[in-house]
Amino acid sequence: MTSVEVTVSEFETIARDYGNLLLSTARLLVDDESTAEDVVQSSLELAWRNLASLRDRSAMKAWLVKIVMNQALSVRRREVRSATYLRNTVHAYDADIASSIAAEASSTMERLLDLRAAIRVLPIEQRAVIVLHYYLDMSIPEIASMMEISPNTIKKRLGAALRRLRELLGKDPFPEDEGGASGVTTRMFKGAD
Amino acid sequence: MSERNEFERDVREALRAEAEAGPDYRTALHARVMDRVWAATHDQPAAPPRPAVPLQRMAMMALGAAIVLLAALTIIALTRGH
Repeated sequence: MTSVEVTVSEFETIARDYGNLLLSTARLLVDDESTAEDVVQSSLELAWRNLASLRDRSAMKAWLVKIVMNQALSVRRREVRSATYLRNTVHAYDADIASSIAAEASSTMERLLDLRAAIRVLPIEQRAVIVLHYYLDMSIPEIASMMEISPNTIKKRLGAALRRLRELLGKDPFPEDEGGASGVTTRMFKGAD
Repeated sequence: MSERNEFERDVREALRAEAEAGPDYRTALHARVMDRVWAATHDQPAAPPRPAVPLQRMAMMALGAAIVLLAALTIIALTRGH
């Protein structure tokens, strides 16, 4: 099979088609808007430079999402090693406390705001799995293939992320969590654009 | 709806709300991205620097210099021997 060949103008259409999805995904993986924009910008440039490595044009969406995810993970890991991490950790700690307090709130809006803050507290590996599964509707095998780790690890990571979110919200674990993440569902990658 | 399903639904809603809480790609970023793509398109990879004198020619010159030096030393040795 030959590699995908596209002109700049075709690539411009691809960027327009997937740009919002990529920016939304990046926004969920990093902590501020300008970093999310940088991640998407560098990801699309990288995609343009490496289009020859893409063998199947129908895999374009998953390929672009993978590039964005890798770029975001790389940014987050760099942040962890830098002084920025200290500041973000303090913010995350504040969010942690805020989410515990707000857990008592009963309205839907407050509950969702609280959950958004709690998602930001998750370690990046857990956050990535949550985003891919619940935002992009990717199945566990698809996430495993994209992240190049076993489906079982993804399942455990997803279960751990859900448990952590419940903890942060001051909720009891699910009854079925006693034996692991058995309740994690699988579904096909429908996309969220 | 089970508690797990309800919680998963909330997670989806929270993610969607967070993902949409920002500017649109076309407004915020598309022009910048395409500038970078155009720059990358015209960006020729730098060729490795070529030596001023080709290697084969340098080797021949070194060999020639060695022969001349050897000949000179031989002449000196022979003339001093007398």
